[in-house]
Amino acid sequence: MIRNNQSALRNFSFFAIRLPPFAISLLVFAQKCGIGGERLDFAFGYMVELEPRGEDQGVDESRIDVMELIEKHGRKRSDLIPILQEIQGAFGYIPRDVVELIAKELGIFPVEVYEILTFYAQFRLRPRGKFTIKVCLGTACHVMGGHDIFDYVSNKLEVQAGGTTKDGLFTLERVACLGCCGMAPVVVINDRVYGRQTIQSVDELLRRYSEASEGIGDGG
Amino acid sequence: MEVKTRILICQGTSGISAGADHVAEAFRKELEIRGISDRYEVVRTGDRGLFRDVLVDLIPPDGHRWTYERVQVGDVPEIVEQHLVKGEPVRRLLVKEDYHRFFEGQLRWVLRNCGEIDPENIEEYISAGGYSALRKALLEMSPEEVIDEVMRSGLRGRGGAGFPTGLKWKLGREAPGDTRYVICNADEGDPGAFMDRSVLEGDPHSVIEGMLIAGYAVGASEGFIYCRAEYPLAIKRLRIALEQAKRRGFIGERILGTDFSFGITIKEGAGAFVCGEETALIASIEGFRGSPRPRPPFPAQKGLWGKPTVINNVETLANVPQIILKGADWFSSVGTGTSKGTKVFALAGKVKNTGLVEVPMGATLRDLIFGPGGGMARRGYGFKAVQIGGPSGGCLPEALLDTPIDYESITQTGAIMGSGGLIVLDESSCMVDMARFFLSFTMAESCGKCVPCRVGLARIFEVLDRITKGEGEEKDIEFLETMGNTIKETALCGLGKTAPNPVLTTIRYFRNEYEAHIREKVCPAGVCVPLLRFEVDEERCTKCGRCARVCPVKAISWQRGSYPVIDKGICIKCRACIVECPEHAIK
Repeated sequence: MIRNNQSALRNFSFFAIRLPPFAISLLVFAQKCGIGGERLDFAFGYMVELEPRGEDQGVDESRIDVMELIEKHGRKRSDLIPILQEIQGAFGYIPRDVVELIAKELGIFPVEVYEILTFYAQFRLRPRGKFTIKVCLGTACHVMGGHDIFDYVSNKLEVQAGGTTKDGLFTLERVACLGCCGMAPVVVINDRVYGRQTIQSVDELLRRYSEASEGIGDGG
Repeated sequence: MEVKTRILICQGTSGISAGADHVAEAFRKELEIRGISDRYEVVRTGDRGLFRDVLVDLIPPDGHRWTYERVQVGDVPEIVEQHLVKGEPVRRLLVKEDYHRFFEGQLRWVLRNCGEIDPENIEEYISAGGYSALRKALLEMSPEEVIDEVMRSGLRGRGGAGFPTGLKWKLGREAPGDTRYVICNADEGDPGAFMDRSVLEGDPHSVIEGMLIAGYAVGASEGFIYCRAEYPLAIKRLRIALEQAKRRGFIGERILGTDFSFGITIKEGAGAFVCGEETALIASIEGFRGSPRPRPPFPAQKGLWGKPTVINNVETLANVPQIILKGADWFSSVGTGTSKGTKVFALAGKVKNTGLVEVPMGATLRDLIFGPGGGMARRGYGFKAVQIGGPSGGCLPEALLDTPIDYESITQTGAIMGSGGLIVLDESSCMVDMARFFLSFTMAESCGKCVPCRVGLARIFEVLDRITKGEGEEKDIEFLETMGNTIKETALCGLGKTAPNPVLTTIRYFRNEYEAHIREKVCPAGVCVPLLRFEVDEERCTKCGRCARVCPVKAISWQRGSYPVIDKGICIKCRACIVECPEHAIK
């Protein structure tokens, strides 16, 4: 882990602000002493999760005008979550550059944006695969075998929860209840809901989706 | 004007996943082709509460209701040809006896419009009596009278805690300040609960009307609906409903010509269970992490942006219009001494009929599960427990099935009423595994602010995890009880205070299963994978071969008339065979 490692920290620009070495030492010291608690833990923890600068895919300006979006919502703190939601809707994840831009525009620290991004399960900091498979692990789905399905898919695709397959085709996610408990266990691929799944049927779904070059929107 | 035959097609999330939108389209096309579309009206409705793939109702002008289940696109021409043209119903698709049994014994007050009207058309809501309660409240009643009516009705919060709604409104109204807010809590995070989703998808206007009345009573001019982002269809229908209500003058400035003005904004949640807790929900609307804060001050005194804020659950608000319209006495005529009206439950798990069931308070759990629920789903697997109240609730055994449904009686059992999730478990469910499941959920969803919840739940989870792996120790049960009770007493918010309930109730009622895991290292229900051997018990096996057919990796070799053999080198321990075996023969 890079956590608590000074030299590795310097390789990252610390949340858009390039900190002088003494500041980083101070932060690391503070964290070791337990000062700053969770906040710093999150900050350090998620720096590791992020792609280092330069590898980020950058913002595709043609897809959405982030400035316009911020303008539209306003610059109040209570607009932060809706802005992030709309950005994720457009990009599929929250690109690093955008975090820094939003922080600047709303007059808050980037860490305050990361705080939100890491607290709420909805937000992603990395791009997703072509198909997002959400396996519902709510109570009803658990009782009806949702975990067996999750484990099977995870084994078969060789990804963990939140991971994306090497070919960039599937992202596997767990979700705590989609409110379709009457048709448990439920699997959602992109936005299509598949109810009453078994290991066999989900196997068939995976096969169909990997074979299809374009999305099978209306199967099932 | 000629009365048209209505064709109702259930298009909630469940219906659409089964292809209801395609079926509706097929009906429209088919009627068009035959040139008879002017005599029929294809209506999109929300889910009525019973999941039967695509449900279609035909209501001719005579009012008789023909209900078809599991309709597929291919069946549409037949229904149109036989039933609509020739007047002969398609018998093979008509619903059977169990469909009617599901609705008998229910008292549908909150769900009255679900599955009956088009949620995206305000006119249908109005012609079903909608917005007349708002009219009555605004034009004939003072805010104090409205509060008094709700107080006398005995309505209590349906989100779980059961706080008297009228009292909450009164506190909100009496709190000093000139700005007040009303929030509708539609962050239905309990896994296994879907009442609020169905109400929002099937009858969004009833919630909006309830909010408007609440706003009038409390003296607020702004309201927020905080809805889970996992419910895209509910959010879409809410937006449409708000737009229509605005256009009709029910939302906005000087509503119905009075001095009352009210605006409603939708706030989408971002996936955090703890945001169902009211102070966390407020933090989330303000744009922060959803961490709860200590109460008092209660939100009704100091809430959103420090202003008095009344927070009500979806189902609570959906009850309000009828209380105003029909009176407190009508409402309180149903129920028990302390719990009035009805409660909607989301019945799921191993029962025949899964869906939404609305029963009067005071009905028993047995009535629910073996009445509308239709009993257990799989032959050979008897009833074991019912999980009530989601991750904050508990598992109750058969002996407690006659507990009447009211806030106090349920709390006495160690569970809580909760928002209304009701998951039925049969003998193929392991109670230790259930406790572990709920703890893994609450542990992940703990916001981390207070130590008992953040650390305590993790410790409990570790011990449960060990037990399910066969590494349990004799002292573990005692540890779980001590730790669970400590967390209950010391945690900051409702999430932490109730999170140990699943562990404590399973220990209380199913201690023998814990002991089997710890002492004998077996999982009696065959769920905990590390304790399974994946061997065929030849005494039980009937050589039917079903296990071999379902194995996804072909690890089971079987020939007619012989016992199946599981090749452990190939087996991936997915449990497909165990689930499939009707004889519990794979251990």
